[in-house]
Amino acid sequence: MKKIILFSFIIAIFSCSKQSANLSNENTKGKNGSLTRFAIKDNFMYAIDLNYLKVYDISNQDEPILRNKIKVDYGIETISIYGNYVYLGAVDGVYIIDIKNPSSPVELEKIEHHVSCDPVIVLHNRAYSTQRTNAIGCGNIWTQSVLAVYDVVDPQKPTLINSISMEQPYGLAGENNWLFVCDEGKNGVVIFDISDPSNPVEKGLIEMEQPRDIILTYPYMIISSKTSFKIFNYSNVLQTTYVSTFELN
Amino acid sequence: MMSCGKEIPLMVKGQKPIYMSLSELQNFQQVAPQPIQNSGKSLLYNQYLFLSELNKGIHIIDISDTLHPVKISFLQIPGNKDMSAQDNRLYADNGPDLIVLDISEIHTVQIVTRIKNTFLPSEYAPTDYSGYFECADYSNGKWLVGWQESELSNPKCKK
Repeated sequence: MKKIILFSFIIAIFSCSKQSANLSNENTKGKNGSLTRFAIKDNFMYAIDLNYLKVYDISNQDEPILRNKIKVDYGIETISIYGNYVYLGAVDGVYIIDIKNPSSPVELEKIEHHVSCDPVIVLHNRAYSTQRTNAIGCGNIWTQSVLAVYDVVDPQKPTLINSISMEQPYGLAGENNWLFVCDEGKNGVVIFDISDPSNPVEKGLIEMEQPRDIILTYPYMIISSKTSFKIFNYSNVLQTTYVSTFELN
Repeated sequence: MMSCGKEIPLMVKGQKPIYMSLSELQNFQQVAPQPIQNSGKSLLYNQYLFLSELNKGIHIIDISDTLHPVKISFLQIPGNKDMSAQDNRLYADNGPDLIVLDISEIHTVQIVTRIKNTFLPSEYAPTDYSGYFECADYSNGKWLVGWQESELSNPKCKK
């Protein structure tokens, strides 16, 4: 009983101290999870449409205009924009597309080492991509699920530099020296230290059943699953604390 | 992925597409919160979390008080799979159409524009499933919005 009282007391303090850190800052840009086929940069929206990358001009936000489309491949599940490049996670690898001229994308390179249909994010000139073996219909060529790290310092010459064994990885997110990877097999989000961006070092696990994707909005982390989401506070990453759970069933 | 084996069973349990007509697809509505059953994509815009419910629409949840997220409503957008947002506008696919929604008043979200027929069908097989299924058919003005278990006669598709 004492424990419970102490616990609620801590929660009370916690909730008070959190009042000032509410999510109320106005922002004109939406923040997608890593599993998305739509992404916006400035006045353009890039959308994956079956086997095309389509570019919509949204300078007049109420009248999107289709400006261009380039053929990529089937089965692309995720799009990620980093600097002047669009990264696409496809069933047969990672595509890199130059959007220096935003309405005229140019396909640069396809990293064809691997087969997966999972997301890719880019941070510190490295592309981090999860590759899941049990993704039915995604081509089961990987013999084990991994977190793959590509050097994309020169987007013309991407190279695979590391692969870390995972169980059933899904979405991922990163910030500063930290990378967070959903792993359904581990029932949680694996925390990696990426102070050395080429060599992620596993540092801990945030427990959650069937995690699918993550959105970071410092100091909060929103982890979604198929039927709910949880909010954690990661201001001290290695002591990430649970804030709340939302279920709507 | 699909096979045309010699021995297709006459009757077998499997997955069958659920279709909507293109006019039914345009039935956008903002309704009371719905259960989260098969969420895939997430998007944060200001204090609002948008969670997609595959092929059905988008849940809106206010997370300004992170300890007590509050459900706002559900945007019924049949055939929806993806979304993004900027400057008070939510961009979402609605079957073959791209719709732009004004989200400045979160309780009264309105369609501003509909760009018709800009997206191709992409769902031809049930996800995370292996077995027989009735092949998807997007002809004659219909769009696939889900799958249900059913007795199939002589199914031509399998994965």
